[in-house]
Amino acid sequence: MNCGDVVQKCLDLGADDVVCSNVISRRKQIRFANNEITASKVWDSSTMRIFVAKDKKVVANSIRDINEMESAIERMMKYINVLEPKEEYYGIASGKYSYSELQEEGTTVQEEDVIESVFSIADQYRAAGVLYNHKSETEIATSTGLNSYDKGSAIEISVRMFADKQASGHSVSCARNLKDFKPDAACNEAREIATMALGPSAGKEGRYDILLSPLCMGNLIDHIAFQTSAFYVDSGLSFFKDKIGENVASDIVHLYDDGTRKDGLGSSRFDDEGVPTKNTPIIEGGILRTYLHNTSTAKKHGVETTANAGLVAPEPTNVVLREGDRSFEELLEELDNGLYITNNWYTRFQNYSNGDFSTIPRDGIFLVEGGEIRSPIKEIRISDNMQRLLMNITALGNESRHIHWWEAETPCFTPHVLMRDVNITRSRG
Amino acid sequence: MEDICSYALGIGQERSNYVEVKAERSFSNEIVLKNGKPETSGFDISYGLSVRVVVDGALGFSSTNNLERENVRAVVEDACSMAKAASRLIKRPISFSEEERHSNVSYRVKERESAIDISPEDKLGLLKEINGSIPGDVRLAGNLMNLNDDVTEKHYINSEGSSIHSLIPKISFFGFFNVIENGDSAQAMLEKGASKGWEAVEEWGLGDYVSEEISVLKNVLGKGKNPPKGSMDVLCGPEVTGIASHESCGHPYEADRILGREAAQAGESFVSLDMMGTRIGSDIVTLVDDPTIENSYGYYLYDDEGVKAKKRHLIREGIINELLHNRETAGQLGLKSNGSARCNSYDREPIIRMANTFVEAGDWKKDEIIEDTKRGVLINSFTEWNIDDRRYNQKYVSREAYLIEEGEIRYPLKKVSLELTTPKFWSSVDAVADDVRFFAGNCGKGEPMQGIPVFMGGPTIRLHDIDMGGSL
Repeated sequence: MNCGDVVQKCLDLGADDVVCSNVISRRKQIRFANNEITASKVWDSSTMRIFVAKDKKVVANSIRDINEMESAIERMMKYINVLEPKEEYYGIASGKYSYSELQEEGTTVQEEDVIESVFSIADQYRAAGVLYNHKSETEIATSTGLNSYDKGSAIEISVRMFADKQASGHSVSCARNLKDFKPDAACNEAREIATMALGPSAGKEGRYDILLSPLCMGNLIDHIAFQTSAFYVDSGLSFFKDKIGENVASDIVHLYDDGTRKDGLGSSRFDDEGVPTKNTPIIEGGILRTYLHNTSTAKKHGVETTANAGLVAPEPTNVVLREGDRSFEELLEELDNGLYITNNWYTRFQNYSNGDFSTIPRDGIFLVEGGEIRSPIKEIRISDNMQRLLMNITALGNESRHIHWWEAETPCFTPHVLMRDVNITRSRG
Repeated sequence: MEDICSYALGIGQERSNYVEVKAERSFSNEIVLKNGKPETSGFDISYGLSVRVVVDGALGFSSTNNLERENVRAVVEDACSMAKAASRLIKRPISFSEEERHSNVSYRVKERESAIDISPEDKLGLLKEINGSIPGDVRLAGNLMNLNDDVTEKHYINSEGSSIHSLIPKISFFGFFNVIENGDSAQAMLEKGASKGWEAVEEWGLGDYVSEEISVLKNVLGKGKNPPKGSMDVLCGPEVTGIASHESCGHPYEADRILGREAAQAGESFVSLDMMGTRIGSDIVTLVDDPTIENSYGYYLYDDEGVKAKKRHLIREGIINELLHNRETAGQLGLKSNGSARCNSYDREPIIRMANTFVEAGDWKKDEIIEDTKRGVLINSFTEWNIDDRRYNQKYVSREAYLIEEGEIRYPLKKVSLELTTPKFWSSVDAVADDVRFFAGNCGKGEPMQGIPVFMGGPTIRLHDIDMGGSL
């Protein structure tokens, strides 16, 4: 069955609203560690996702058993009959839309050659990481007459270099085509950070001004973006609740969700209900402008959809923190004394509604003195409040990086970010 | 299921030194209640197959959910050709440990009442009942509850003659609650999970559980004082003992981390092979991981490499005793696997995972430990937590904590932050109670990420003389 057939069958069985999409993908992965390949994988999959509403009762399913489509639809319509209405359901998108042109694909490469180059750059260092190369096609049809098709490709590498057990550097290169894919540059950057990180001393607790690398900021943006989804705002899982129109960040912060970027891993022609993707200002000049919406959450909040369906929970596409005007050297000079943090992981919120959280820097962490990177440190933790940190951003780099990796699931574009007065803690024994 | 696995195995055997095939059919339901109102619910149906091969010492893996023979053949050929291409970039050919063959094994978890047979209406009714049990005087900034159940049928075969069929139902509850009181707020993320049927939710008493935990948050916000500073004893309740067991013992004892295979994602470990047999904890600490606990959330009897599961003693009387191994790490070190290979779906490679990780019971009663404590804090449960990627520096911030003075609990404390190293944590244990309890969670590891069901647990334990100097 194609998506149109599924929509028609659901309508025949009494559905009011139906959205059906089918994603067919082929994804290759090469994992490596200790300068050798540890596993080579290829996934072929076809996933049909069906969203149905009837009398405001709403069901979302995913079917990965191609022989069970008919019976799954029948089961779904029986299932929906015994549910209760979702009061806050306000329908799916309708209207006439024009979609952007299909993007050209181009990520054909001999993956093992890329990895061989990684090992060559690593030389005496240990390299670990992952290379992905994927292609997908998406078909969508809705009961409101929307029909479209998209296809895309992506190639990305995430690489960590170890100069020593406790001296490492990490970098990524993410692209939708080969011309933007720079694996050697990522390897060289990771290697350079690892070299600088050799011989770290124990960090000290206290309050520091800090410079965050794009990789580190990418992780924080991932968490910030999650909290701009109207679903999580309404669930009490966001410190942005009731803050539309208010100052939520320093006035140099401009944050967008841009599903239209030709170079973004999260880009597509349409969202999960067939609305053409948009470039949406989330924060402009430090002011919160909107949450991320699908048609239903937008109607509840009295606004237009931002084309971020997720039919259950709106989702970010590519999150873009607009770059500033400082070179890396100028940022260091402005930092004067503080810390330069190149990566982090394990960000956890003590309280989503007020933004108390902590996260753990990893890979190169450096003391900066007099505007110069002096010495590596280790074993510290950022224990602070996300709302406060957003207000304490005082400068942004002038070069943006495309970040997507294991600890930054939402693709984003971000420069280096300077934050003032950040609470650093560490183990006390 | 059996036929297509055998077909794939045959194709793989022509092209590889080792091949294993897994077919998996799963059906899962999710019912959601947000702020007391029904949300979008749904179900997932999945049926697919994966193949893992070793060709010229390199590992290949492929999967598909199109089980037409022609496609399955192509998928097996993909795995073999990728492994072959990778073989020029390996330094140490993979050699799996020699393991006992398990032919024609079949096992299943018996359910009193299958959750699949319970109507969505009744499941939603349960969540509404839980919501109704929230005390009326509590103000919530938000709440979100999910009830999930699934049944997974797996058929595994390998080229060494093992053949294992399993059918395991799982059921789980997740609740997020954010309570507002006195101009402040606090959150709880509550989880329950079991390899069981619908009877599990009846045993859990979810209404009482949720209402008690919410009342605790209200009490801490309303009456809690700031935590004391300086050195003192810290009593960890079973939930905190459990998360510490998982984070600072289970993870660093995963042999793949120690050998560097997860270095770019989940990280490595402060534990090195030459630390085997050395002391990490006090001699009353024995910490195990046991997949064979019936109906546990991390339950299995054979792992995803066809190795029989068994209890692993990670720390025995304070000594680093055993690591978690799969066939690859065990083979590399000349050992036998202890059955720790798991994957969360047919389309993920099996990697080393915990199952049910906990501190074994000691001689003390919880009350005796409290009575024996002159000055300390009791941390019953946690909210924020994290640990570095070598599993050396960890932090747990309390959800429920109390001050203890002269052997008595005095009053609740807000946001007690325990931030210390792994050796300090386990070497400071000077009392272990007998009140072992388990808590369900989903552990994250792997690339792509594989969330996998586990239990974490243990009894109340006391850490002696801990520096609790202030942090947020």
